[in-house]
Amino acid sequence: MIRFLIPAVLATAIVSGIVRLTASGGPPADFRFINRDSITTLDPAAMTWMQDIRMGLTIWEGLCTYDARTTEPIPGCAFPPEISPDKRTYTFRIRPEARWHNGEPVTANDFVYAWRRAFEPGTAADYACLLELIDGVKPYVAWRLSETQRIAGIADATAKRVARDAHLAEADRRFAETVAIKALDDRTVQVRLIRPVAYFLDLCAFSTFLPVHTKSIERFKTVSDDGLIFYNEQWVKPGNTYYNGPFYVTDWKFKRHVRLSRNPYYWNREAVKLNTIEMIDVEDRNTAWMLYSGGEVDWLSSIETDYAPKLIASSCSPLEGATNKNGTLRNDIHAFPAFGTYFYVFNCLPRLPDGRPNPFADKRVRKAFAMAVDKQAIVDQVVREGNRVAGTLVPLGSIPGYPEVTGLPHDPARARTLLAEAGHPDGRGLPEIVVLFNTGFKHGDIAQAIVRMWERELGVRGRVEGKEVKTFQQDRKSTNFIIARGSWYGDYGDPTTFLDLCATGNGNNDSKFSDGTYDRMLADAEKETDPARRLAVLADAERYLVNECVPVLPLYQYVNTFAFRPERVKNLYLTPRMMTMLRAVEVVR
Amino acid sequence: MMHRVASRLLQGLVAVWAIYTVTFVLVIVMPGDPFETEGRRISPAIKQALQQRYGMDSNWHFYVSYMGRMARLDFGESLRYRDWTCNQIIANSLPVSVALGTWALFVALALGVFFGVMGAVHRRTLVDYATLAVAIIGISVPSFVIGASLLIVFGIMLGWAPVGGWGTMSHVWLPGLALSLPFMAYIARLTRLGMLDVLGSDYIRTARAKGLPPNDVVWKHALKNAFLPVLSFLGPAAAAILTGSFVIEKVFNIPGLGTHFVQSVLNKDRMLILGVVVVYSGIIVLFNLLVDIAYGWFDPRIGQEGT
Repeated sequence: MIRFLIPAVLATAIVSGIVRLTASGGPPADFRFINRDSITTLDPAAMTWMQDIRMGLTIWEGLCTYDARTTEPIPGCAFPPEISPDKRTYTFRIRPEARWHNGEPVTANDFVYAWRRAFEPGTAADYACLLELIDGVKPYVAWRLSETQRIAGIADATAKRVARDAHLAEADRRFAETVAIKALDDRTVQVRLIRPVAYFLDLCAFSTFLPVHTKSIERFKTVSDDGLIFYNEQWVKPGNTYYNGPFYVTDWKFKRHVRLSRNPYYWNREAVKLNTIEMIDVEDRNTAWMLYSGGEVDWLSSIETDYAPKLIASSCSPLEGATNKNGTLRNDIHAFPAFGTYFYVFNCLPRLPDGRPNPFADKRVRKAFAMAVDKQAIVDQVVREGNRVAGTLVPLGSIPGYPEVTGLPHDPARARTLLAEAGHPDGRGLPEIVVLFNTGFKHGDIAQAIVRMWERELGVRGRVEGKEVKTFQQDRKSTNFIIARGSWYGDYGDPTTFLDLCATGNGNNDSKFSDGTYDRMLADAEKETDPARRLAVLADAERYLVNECVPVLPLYQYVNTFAFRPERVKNLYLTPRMMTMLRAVEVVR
Repeated sequence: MMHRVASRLLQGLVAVWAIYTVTFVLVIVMPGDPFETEGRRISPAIKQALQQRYGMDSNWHFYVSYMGRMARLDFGESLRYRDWTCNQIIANSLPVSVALGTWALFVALALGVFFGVMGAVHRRTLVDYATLAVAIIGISVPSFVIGASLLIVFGIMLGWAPVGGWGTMSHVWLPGLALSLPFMAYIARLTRLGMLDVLGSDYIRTARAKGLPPNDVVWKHALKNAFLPVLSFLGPAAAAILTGSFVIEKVFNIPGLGTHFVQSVLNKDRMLILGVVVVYSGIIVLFNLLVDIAYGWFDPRIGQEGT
């Protein structure tokens, strides 16, 4: 018998030993939550994902920050800025109490350094374009890129090093002279914009504009042979840098958890209610839901399971902003509209990928296809999350002061007439309509339903084509489609975050739509300095876009679903942009 | 023996290199851009800076330089999770997968052999049919169904195990069981067949005739020979348990390497794909070597033939 027991004991000992060594341990935090996905980066310059930005805004704080309830920009670690009469120069005075979590004061240079780092080409930040609104940034970056390419072409090593060092010295000089971000003294930051930007304060709260602790990050800087500046990303790890937000990172285990503690030096520390926070990484959506149901976590920030529609239907959320309150069962499911739109993109180029003439180059055809879709049926029978039907790109009511724009109605009869006018009565002469989508979520079901509607109402032949997301993106980017699925979440609280999508030459304009009138309307809005008038011009532009041009077919507005017990978790607000400010959250045990 | 081990190790190295090369070619021809994410599009200038940063402007150059880095056990940076190096990711998750896999392999072996022997000794009785039933379920029911069912029954309804996570043995036994089931079933069938063969042979009859205790005959004399097919299955089984733990790791939220194995491909995270594949293939080569050596111990004739 002993002979058989020995391996059993040995196996248990070895396994439990490894388990112990790889365990993460630690006492449970005051507030535990599951983010919508794994953290991809905690480098504020590189953040583009919701889950990263949410973390970034918890551990850092910009010159402005977001109001927890409304997501409007409010003063952060600086006082309200002084804005010049031409609305292009902003002068921020940093609060004397603003500190890093080691107690050192936050300086003006920490902002200048962080912003420069964010647009330096070596950092390769996705959102670097947001900084191009600052005077001098765009030419500086272009010059840096062309110079580094020139240096890369130098064959001789010594000559290369000499050229690189000369270039770097010149870059510092040029930055100081031509880029309009200045530290006037230790506590004053001044920025001059290329034009008045109505949402600049909103940007000052955004992750790309967060400061970094200059002294600690400097140690991780390296310069490549051709003069690009890189940072070893290990700088973001706890212990390697300091944070100035309401919380600081104490522990980060890859794809397991991020642990935060309250920053004892945060200027507004009285307002912070939690001492510790733990973000738990859970890959599987069902497991996430089970963990929440079992009381392991206080907040589940998205429910992307097959039974989400049922949960939403049973919700009787008492919270402000929740859309579904008709259920009777659960007061802990909170569905609310998101700052994002689900739409279809029409290829607007004159020819299809295979060289045949593209019928969708004719806006009447696009309009006909748009009007033949019964969006309400899609929302009610396929998506089933209580979404609102969308006629526009900008989610309805999401931007204060933005006039309401109505899109095209569902009108199959008019759609048939338009198609006939375009020379395709009963769909004659149209190629097979292929709808491209990325597999996952309900994209396939939605595409099937829509194609069926087109076949029924317009007499066309259609087919759906699902592809893996990366391949799908490549196809969309190279306009290798007839009609493709699309979606967009706004980055900042201004209509242009959506409307720029259809501007000529925009990098995300997948329809390759180009219309002089629309571009001019956007340009007019840029020149308008009165905020209300500017929004009215933008509303006119959108009205023209979604009713006359129709490069995209908006389907519905996204819905977010949070799960938390409102009697236990307080001040966790349902804001469309989901910039959840954890500094306000309180837990009642 | 040493000579044999050395030559097998060399063969293993060549195998790993071949796997690296094939994987590299697949990664290159795979559609999709590693630097594009599902969200915003990056500008050409930024993409170029990224390619430069990760030395990916030329495929050939990358192939050679990355091989050199791997020879120094440096697997490079993750493209998707830029704050982590592949070494950090692998070091964080490989021990977890190894612990889970070891446990699953042990459970599969212990229970599989036990069921197999029982089935053979009590042929065509209820015991035999019961083990057959368990085996069929183990082989045919996919692991995500087994995993989720076990989780619901033992984790939620009975509360005998935590719902996912990692840190104590209580986190291991349930996913370990789920992971081991198909292998346990296969081992049970292999053992049963082997035992049936051996139990009918002359030397067993002799042993019985000499009056040895029946248990000794079965567990000591018969099993040692009946175990050979199981032993040769252990190499591939260990490899399959390690590389196939993805689903179980996902269902039980275990921070193992299996997730990265699949996810890195979906993310086109080039260096992480190559790093994980090379680490896995290294482990598999080692395991097969160990099984080879063990074979020689179980059946000395094999070792002599090999040299």
